[in-house]
Amino acid sequence: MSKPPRLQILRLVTLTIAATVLLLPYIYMVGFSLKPVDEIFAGGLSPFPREFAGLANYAGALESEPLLRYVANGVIVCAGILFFQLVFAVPCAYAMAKLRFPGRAFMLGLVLFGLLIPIQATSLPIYIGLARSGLTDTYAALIVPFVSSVFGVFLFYQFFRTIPDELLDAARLDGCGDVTIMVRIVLPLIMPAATAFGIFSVVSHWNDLFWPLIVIRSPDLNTPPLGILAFRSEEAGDSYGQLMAGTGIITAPLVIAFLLAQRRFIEGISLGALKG
Amino acid sequence: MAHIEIRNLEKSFGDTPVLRGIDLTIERGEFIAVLGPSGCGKSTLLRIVAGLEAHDRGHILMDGRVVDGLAPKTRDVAVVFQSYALYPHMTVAQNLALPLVMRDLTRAERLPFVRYLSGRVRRTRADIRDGVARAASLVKIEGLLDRKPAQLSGGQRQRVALARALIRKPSLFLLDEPLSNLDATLRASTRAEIVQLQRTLGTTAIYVTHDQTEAMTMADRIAIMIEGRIVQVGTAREIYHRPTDVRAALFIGTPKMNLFDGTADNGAIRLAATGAVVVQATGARNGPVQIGIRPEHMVLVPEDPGDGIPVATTHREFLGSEALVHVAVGDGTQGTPAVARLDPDTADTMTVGRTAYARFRPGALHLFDGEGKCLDPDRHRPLSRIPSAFGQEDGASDAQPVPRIVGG
Ligand SMILES: Nc1ncnc2c1ncn2[C@@H]1O[C@H](COP(=O)(O)OP(=O)(O)OP(=O)(O)O)[C@@H](O)[C@H]1O
Ligand SMILES: [Mg+2]
Repeated sequence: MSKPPRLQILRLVTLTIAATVLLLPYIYMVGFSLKPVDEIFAGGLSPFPREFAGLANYAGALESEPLLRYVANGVIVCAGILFFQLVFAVPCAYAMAKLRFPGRAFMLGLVLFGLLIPIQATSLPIYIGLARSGLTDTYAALIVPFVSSVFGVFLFYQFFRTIPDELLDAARLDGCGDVTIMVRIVLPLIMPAATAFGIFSVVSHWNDLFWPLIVIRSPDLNTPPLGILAFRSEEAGDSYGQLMAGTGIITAPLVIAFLLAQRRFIEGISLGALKG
Repeated sequence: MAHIEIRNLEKSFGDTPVLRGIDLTIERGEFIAVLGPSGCGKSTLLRIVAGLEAHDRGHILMDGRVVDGLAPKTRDVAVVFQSYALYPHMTVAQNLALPLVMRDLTRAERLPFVRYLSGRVRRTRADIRDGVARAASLVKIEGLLDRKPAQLSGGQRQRVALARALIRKPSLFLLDEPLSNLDATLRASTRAEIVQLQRTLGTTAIYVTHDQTEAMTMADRIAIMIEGRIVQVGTAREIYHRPTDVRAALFIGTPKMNLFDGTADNGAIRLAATGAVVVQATGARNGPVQIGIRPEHMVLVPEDPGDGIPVATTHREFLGSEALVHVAVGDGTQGTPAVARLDPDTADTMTVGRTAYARFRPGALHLFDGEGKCLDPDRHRPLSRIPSAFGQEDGASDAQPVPRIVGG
């Protein structure tokens, strides 16, 4: 290491403190999920359990509510949303960034305008639309309103603009058609952007409480946050350890997915996708 | 190897005309440079020839066949872009292989697992690997095949781009300022290498540049392009010695050709600044003209030989084998600036701030009319003879050391 060690240490300490502050709630959550109830209520700052009750808490949580089903629902909904968002946003952004057609600037204006509208503003008409078509209380109701992401279009648009035209021209001269250019050149190059977008999309829809609360009634379709809500209102009271265990189970897929994606994400950036 | 014919090509972006009627014929195996200032439409011309851009009017013929509107891949051309345009996520080997993969394998055969099913695909893939190795050795990048473009130096990237262009042996090379991102030394050596490669492969090449040295040292012929028009096509020598347009004359040669305002008056060409008659040109119509002379044809002497044009010496530059003396012609130091290329000893006899005397070698004068077209009635004369239309014929040749001044 060529860096002076003192600077290294300073940097390490700063990062550790920042990370601890951000992670503290999560650490306590995990800690509580391992403690028996009386120990939680006894107070004390240590996140580490004196008496290990993790097994009981996690087993209890899984028993009292179909948590794994909620997690599966979350996976289905988030995967569906992300899939359709990519299918719609990537070609749309590509066309706006790289093709010349009349009305392009106007369309881009619409996209930017769309960024300003929160879901709460459009929720009522969308709900009525879903209700009229008999789609409420289905997976479709959870997925359909989010399949077109203006944020996604905007993000990919910005990214496509950094891909030089000459690169695509070179591919065309090398004999690639539009589909081949997409598959061989564009998609590999936008992997970092797609990963970043995937993280944003999955996190926000996994954690979304607002929309599922509106369109879902049957417990079978509960998404993870609805599951926690159900868990809390039914069990309530003193089973904090189980509640925390349930929360842990429900957030775990997200944490794991993020850690996996983060690796790719950083890889994509540090390889300098568009350098050279 | 293709024969290219460009006929009256026009192109506008919106209301801005970029190409205003380009006519250019390129022989089989010829290396032609398109030389022009930034923004004159060189890249646009290249992109149209490659099929990447559509033109508004005119035709492009390759080997006598009109290729207007044909897709780039069917034209069998390869382009080296200024930015190299290497695929950043692929290794050098993959970059080089892509053109061959696309040409030699069908869509189904390109699928990754097919090579395990079909012996033919396996053989084609092996051929492609050989092709990559051969192309890499042509430009000496054998050791870099596993790197990604980001891990290469500018010069190495440039070689990869060259290799990718030549790997499928196209019938036409298009090179768009391929050396402009390299440092001066590398540029000089790469110049020679590109020419050598082109000679070995025998491929017709169009080389776009704004650097006159590149154009003059590399190309068989140069097409000078200015504001969307080709103003002159010829060898470097032809354009240097017999420019047909004042803009071509100014674009080739360092320092630039000296240019003075003048008038034609019943065949006498007068320098506007001093009123001196510098030459007789019977063909010239009365009116304003421009009088051009290359710096090496402008002779300065410190003492008035009797028929010299007095000039103010403003600056002297010693360049080793030669020296440049900057002068102002007419009106003291405020006159028309001009440069004379002298041998250093002669230049030392000139003092900055003092008056010197200039003599123009009549046979080396270039006359241009008000539109900038060359006034020379017979520009295909041999270089060594001075035509009678430009001063009295006296057998003086360009090699004669002390020129005569006509009139005064
Ligand atoms: N896609 C485009 N849309 C509008 N104008 C364009 C476009 N491409 C080029 N132009 C204009 O056409 C003119 C010629 O551009 P071109 O790139 O051919 O110049 P060039 O001779 O290659 O210049 P340089 O030496 O700087 O590369 C320029 O004025 C440029 O602004
Ligand atoms: Mg250009």
